[in-house]
Amino acid sequence: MDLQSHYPDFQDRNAEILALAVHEVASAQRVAQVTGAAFPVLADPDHAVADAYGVYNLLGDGVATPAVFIVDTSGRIHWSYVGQNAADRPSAQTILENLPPSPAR
Amino acid sequence: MNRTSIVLLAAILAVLVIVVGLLFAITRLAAPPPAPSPQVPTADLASATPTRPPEVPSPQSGRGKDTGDVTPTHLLPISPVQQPPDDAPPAPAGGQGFQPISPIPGGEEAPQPETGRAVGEEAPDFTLEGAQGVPVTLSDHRGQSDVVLVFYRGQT
Repeated sequence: MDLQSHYPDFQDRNAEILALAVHEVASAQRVAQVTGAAFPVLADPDHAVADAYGVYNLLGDGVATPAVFIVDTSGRIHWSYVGQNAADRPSAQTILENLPPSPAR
Repeated sequence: MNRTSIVLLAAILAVLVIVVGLLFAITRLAAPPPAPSPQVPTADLASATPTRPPEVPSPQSGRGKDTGDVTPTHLLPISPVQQPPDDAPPAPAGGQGFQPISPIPGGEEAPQPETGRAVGEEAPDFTLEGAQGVPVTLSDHRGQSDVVLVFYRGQT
């Protein structure tokens, strides 16, 4: 998805990126090192958050389905995308286009 | 012996000759009997029976040239039919493959569950530890910035 290269675009739009995966913290650290992600890479080892968002084990493979949720400043889900297979995730551009409209500054 | 007897005898003989001749002709024209008749000379059989045909009446000329068990070309197996590649992409939406015919009430990990929380719902709050070593809480961003939650598949 190459979010890292588009991270500045998200920051310009006042959007934070949180990456989650059903793995241990150590694995999250490896991912962060490998990808050089500047945004937080979070560990959801007991898939509690994946469960809460209804994306855990949708494909029956014991991990979260690729999914993106945009949460606006009021804490509500503004947009979501749940992949139909392991490789199905939206592009960074798609996510940017679906961000809530920026308030006039 | 009177003349009548002679004539009679000659007639009988002629009839016998004719009958035997006819029998001969019939037996020689028909297929040779399985049990060789002792009266049929061998020379007649050899001349009557045509040359024994070869065991494998195949047109290929390899026979007789090579020693050993050379498989005739027309008996060789044909090239195997091209199988579809095994690396065909798996069926998408793996849940469909597990869809039960009748819905299982209260079943765990339903094959076609809800596709995540709906738009407009409140995003479930959470606090998770991250690679940066600092716990991150979703609601911390409330009122400050939008948050893009990206669920990766993770590593089992």
